[in-house]
Amino acid sequence: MGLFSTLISSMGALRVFEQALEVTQNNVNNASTPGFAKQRLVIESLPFDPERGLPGGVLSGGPQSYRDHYAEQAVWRRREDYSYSDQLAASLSRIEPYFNVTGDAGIPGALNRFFQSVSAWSVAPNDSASRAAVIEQAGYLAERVRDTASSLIAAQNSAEQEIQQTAETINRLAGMVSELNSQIRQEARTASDPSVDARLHTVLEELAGYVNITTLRQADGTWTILLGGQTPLVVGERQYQITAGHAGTQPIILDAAGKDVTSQVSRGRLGALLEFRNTALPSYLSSLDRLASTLADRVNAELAAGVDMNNQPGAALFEYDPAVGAAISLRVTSITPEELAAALPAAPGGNGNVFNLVSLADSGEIDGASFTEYYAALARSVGRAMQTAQEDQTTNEQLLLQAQALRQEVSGVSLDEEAIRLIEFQRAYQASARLVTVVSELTEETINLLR
Amino acid sequence: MAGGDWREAVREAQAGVAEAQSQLLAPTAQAVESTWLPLERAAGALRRLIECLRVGVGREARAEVEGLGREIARLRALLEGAAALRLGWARRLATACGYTAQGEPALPPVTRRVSVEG
Repeated sequence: MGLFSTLISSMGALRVFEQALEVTQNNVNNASTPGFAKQRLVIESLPFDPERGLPGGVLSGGPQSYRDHYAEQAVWRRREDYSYSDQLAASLSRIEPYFNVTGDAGIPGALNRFFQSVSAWSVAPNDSASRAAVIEQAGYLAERVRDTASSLIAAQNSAEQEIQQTAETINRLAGMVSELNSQIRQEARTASDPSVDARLHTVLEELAGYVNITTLRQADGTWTILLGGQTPLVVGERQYQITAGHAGTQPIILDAAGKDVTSQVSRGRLGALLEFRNTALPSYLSSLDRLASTLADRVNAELAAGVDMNNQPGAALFEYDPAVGAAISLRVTSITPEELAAALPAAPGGNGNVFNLVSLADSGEIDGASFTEYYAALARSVGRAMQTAQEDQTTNEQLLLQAQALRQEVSGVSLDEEAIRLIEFQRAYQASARLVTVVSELTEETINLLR
Repeated sequence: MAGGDWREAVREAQAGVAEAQSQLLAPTAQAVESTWLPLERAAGALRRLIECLRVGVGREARAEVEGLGREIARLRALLEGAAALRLGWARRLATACGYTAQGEPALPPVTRRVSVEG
């Protein structure tokens, strides 16, 4: 082989390695750029056959991204789960203080005070101060029930605003993807531009924090984004906006054609807000309504069975409007102390009817539970929901870190190394899983011994 | 075992589980392997705690042991998460290179060589 062809081959190799250095330099410069995946230069060998005048050397195959779509998607799925539990825990933490059952505050304290005033009335059934105290404590109880209900309704309104804002954020992020798609379409080279790629992946990860998405990379390099795997948010340069609307009193999510797609929103912040607003809060409000209506109906029924100081049938103490909700409308009627029915019709002037009222405090009036027990169970269910959401938040945060670690790891590995690692992993996993089972069983045994 | 030792056993079990959890934040074979030692320590500590409880010492440990139960559930989730990530990655490998007769993802064939001539 002549000196000339050797020189050409050497120059080619130098150019390729110069490009490789540029790629490396670019990787170093962007080490802290959000969403950036490092690149490598594919180097291909050229035929080497001096007898046929083939000088060998290397040829640049162009830069290739290390980004792995599976690892990216794994991070997005974990991001959806983490944001869901983070939002749910935050929303529940706002209403949990209203269900405080300790001390003399709130509904449990007001129930105690009301039944204590009834008990005091039974000792002095014709004492006007005792009668007035019963009406006063009934008013206080109704006010506490209304306060709790109005706090829950305020939480509903606040969640609706957050749903609206989240839908707008999703549209803004989807708009950014459609703009980047437009750039990619206008210039094909942009699809492999690492800075565009980094921006796209940062936006997609952020979007996954707000709603569950499915992403598809098209042959032209653009990205199609679907909400819940079905509703298009972005197809090529076209964006399909979602909106927050209402079906009756419930907030819903509508697609660009106005179709209700709420059932497709299951994860991310939007999924948590819809779950909180449309499932959790109505369930708590419904329980509170049941407490308020049962309490009012039972107390009124007992009073109606007796006679007042003028030997007239007892008047109602509580009233509410079932159309707007028993808890939010619970109040004391315009009853006077004289109209409270302390006596039974057969024994006017006595306290027989008050004893029936006193017994309401401890009798199983709702699903076999007393009013106080029923409320405590409701408070416990709110507390449990919040504890579960907080535990899920911690677990999902760790799972997100784990997925991010995998993404980081696969950015720099070769497939053959990874195949060997998988076999190692399988062995390590089996041993660890056995150990976790042993530790778990020992803990169960310990808990059983402590019971 | 002395009365104070059950607390030491609970602490050791908690520390073992916490260390295993932090190892599993990276879903690698090495990370999973490095959970064995702390988990064995946690198991040993729990066996000591069970001995204490059988002789009536350490009844106060209930809240801490229940908390430990929740941490173990989280540890299991992390281990399963690591396995799910690896399984997905294995499927991706298999998409590129297929499976071996043993059902393992196959190694990719070497199609290029880098040669520097000059």
